[in-house]
Amino acid sequence: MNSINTNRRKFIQQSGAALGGASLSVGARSLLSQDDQVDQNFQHIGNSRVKQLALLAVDAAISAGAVYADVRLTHQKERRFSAALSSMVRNWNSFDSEAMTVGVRSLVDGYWGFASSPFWTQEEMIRLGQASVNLGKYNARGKERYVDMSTRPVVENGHWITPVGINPMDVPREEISDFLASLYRYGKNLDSSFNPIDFTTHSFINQDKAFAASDGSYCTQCLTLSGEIFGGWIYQGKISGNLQEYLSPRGMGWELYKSQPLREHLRALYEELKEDVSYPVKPVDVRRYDTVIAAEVVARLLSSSIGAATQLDRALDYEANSGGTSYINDPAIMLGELGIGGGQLTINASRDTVGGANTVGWDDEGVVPQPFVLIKDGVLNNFQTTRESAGWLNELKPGSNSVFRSNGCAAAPEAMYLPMTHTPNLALVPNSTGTSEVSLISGLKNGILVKSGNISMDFQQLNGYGGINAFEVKNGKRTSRLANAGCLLRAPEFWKSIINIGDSSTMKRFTGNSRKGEPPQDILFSIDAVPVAVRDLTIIDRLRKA
Amino acid sequence: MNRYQQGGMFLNRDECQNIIDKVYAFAKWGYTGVTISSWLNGELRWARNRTSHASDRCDVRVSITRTSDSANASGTCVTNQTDDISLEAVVRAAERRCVERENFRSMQPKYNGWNTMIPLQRPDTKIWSDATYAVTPEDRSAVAVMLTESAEKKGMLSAGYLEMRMGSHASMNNLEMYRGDPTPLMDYQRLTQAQCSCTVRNSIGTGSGWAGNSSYDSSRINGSEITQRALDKCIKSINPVRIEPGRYTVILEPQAVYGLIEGLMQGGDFRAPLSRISNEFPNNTSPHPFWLAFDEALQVHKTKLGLKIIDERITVSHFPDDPDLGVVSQDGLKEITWIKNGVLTELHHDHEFARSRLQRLTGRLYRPGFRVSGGTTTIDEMIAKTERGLLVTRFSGVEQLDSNTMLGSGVTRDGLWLIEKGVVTKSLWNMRFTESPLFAFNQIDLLGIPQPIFRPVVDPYDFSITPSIVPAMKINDFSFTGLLDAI
Repeated sequence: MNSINTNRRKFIQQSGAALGGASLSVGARSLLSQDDQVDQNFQHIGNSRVKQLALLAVDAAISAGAVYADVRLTHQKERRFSAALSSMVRNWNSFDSEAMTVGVRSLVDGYWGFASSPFWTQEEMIRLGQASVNLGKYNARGKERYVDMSTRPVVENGHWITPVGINPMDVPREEISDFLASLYRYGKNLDSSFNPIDFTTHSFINQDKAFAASDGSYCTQCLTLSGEIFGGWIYQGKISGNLQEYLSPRGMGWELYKSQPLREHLRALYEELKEDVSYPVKPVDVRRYDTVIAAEVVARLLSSSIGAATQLDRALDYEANSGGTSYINDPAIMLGELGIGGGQLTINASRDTVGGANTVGWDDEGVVPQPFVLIKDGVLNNFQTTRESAGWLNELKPGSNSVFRSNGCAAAPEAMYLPMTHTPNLALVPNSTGTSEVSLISGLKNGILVKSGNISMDFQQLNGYGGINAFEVKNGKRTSRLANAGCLLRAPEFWKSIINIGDSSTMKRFTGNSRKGEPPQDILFSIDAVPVAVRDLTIIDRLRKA
Repeated sequence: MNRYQQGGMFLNRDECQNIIDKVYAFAKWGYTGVTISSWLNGELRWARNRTSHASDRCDVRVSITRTSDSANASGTCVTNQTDDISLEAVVRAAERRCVERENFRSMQPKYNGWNTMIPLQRPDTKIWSDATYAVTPEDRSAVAVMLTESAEKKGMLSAGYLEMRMGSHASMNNLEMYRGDPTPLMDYQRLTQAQCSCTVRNSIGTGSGWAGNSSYDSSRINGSEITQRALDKCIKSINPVRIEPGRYTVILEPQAVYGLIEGLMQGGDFRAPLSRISNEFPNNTSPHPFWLAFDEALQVHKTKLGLKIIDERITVSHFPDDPDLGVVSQDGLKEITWIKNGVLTELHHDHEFARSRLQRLTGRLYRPGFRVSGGTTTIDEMIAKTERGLLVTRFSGVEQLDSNTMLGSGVTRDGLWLIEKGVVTKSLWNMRFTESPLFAFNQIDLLGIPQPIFRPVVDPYDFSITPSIVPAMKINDFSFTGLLDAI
């Protein structure tokens, strides 16, 4: 029996049905045409026909034998502005794309089946619903598997919109192109040695999403994400910096660019790099140092170590064959007990952060995201979970005082991908007493300042290694810049070696990328981080061989 | 009758031609390029000895580029909808971007090299397998049960991924008329790709083994052998001990060798060391391993072309019709030998640069599979001939630290063992290496039989990454700089 029996003829028929607009399909509205005209066939995600399609898919799956089924329909439009160095002060090239996809997920005897395609037609909804059930059935012929999905309130006809000031799709391309050209011209005019990174790219995404489940839930969302996805500035070809604290992708619209004094920020970056490069360069004296680490590097470390390690599926080896496992690998014993860091370390997680890159009204299982404390006073307080993996915790800790429910971490880039556990927005709780970055640095007698860097973790999120832009600090003052500096760390010791952390005035927002799965999928999330001072960080010369 | 015998849900030649004809009808001026990728993936993933999900997914991507009459500016937009309204909207959107850029370009001197370009080639390649096409979802499920059984019987935890993929790729660009080709035709290619990989760990996480393979032909992938190899490695890797970092003789299995060679071939196309795209012009002063000085006559940098750069037993090449590689046909693809007997023989250039200034094609780099020559020594024989050394399964997280010397760093993963007096004696902690492939490939002692390695497709819309054939190598003085307790 075929689970997907659509043949080539149907592929074309479905395309043609969409063409008609008056057919059973919702109609492929031409998003790209809205540049300069209103498409009369435009079907908003809130249209009742979208709901009819969604329910049709769910009904088809349940009729075919699923004990649970859900469907997502996404309609994504992305506008990218990128430019080579030679033209970015005059003209930015925009590259637009759109995609409509639908994905149906069914649970049959403890096994998941998933089917997706680009066609929003009634016929396709039924086919995908049945196909997903068949996939589950084939696997259920094997060994027994049990899924206990944690409960959640049913949402009926919910609708949520990313609170944006200016929808970037409503802004003429020429305006965005001119704005960027003007900003980069300003930067280059500051100094001929101050240059942006080639092929810098800014991205603006609108994603309309509908979700329906067999328990009666139905909700729709219009999500927006804007920001610089690749870029930075280099001074004298020696030292680089970026505006990520201002422009990293987040759940905002064009106001992200318009509401900030970006020219002032760019000038400040230029002055900063100019000062950085003025310090004498010296080789690394390889050893351990008390170190102050800038918020950007702390954010990257949070993302790649604790952010990845506390995904429950990763902790239980579900990612063993791709990105890797987690050093937090015994949830039953470790939850509520394992010391992740020092007492100052508290990390909050949520998908309702205003302006967060991973902020939603509901996750991809219809769960309203509730803020939760991931690390509390240094102790592992929770895991990132979905409805299925919250059930694993209930099984692993049956004597627990509370019933574990999904933390709302189910996400997928588009409906064509199966939802997985992805990292929500993270926030490092700042020091409640006044501690500026300057005061952290002034506390160093003989130490290191790490201003930027890219530290990646190993396949167990345990050992960190990376290149850093580091400065030697003597008696609270920078004295020299270190050549080819890198650092080595081990996550459990590193987070426990925190001496002090910055206060709320030092908080900055950056963006991390949760990449996992087979096939791989990426979800962006925000990280609010402050600078930290740590004891005994190993600083190395990266280019030194054995 | 299975699903594929009814016709896979990807576009055939006529359907692609139909879409292209529609696009050309909508385009009233200038030149138009259309690329259509359609694919169907059958996927199955398992963890903790149970299938965690099975999926069938399909999609199509139509990319339309509109180029001005003067061929001086172009705009591109993409959709996954193939109805007339969407296609026309994308044509118009691409045109608006083209006009914007034309206005911008009119302020710049026009490039007059187009008319002197030699035609692009697009050779036929072997990339279709009926065996892959015939695998059904039921087949995948049955295989998954079989693949997890051996690990479960031994009390181990297996996680893995199985993917069967089929699709088609079509393209046409009448800009080639401007460039001297009077009758541009649509290129159409259907293809299959398959991959299987497996990681086996013990329940307390003190041992881990991995194995995997990818090919366009699923019958070339032996799932049982892959799981057995991963299981054996896991069992042998349990309870590792630590040794001091330093320089060691290493026996790199083919997947580990690929981890080093990847740095030579990849790097994001134009940043790959074998590419000169980023180094064609005098104002680009980025350091480069194969770069000497600036050539005033050609206005490019002189290179190490013709010089011996690695061991003379190594030849790196790709042939479009190599049935072991399954190279996807692309514009500019040709038989090419990058390194012959250790001598650098070819560098990749930007196509337009190569076609106009060099009057020849310089091949495709990075994505097409490649073949690295080898020897006849088995890994067991290498071990038997090793007084003291390390056996490496694969590397993970390899990154380049210095583009001039190609010095890079990464970590061993899923199996590292100590060899003493010709015998594997201990499982070891994983280690971090800091080494340059240019140094390592000049320190080769023994070469193994070239074998297909795991090099799967990552981006579903990008068909061009295909497997490669790489030998195991025994290399002296390989530099390890750190220890890891990650398993």
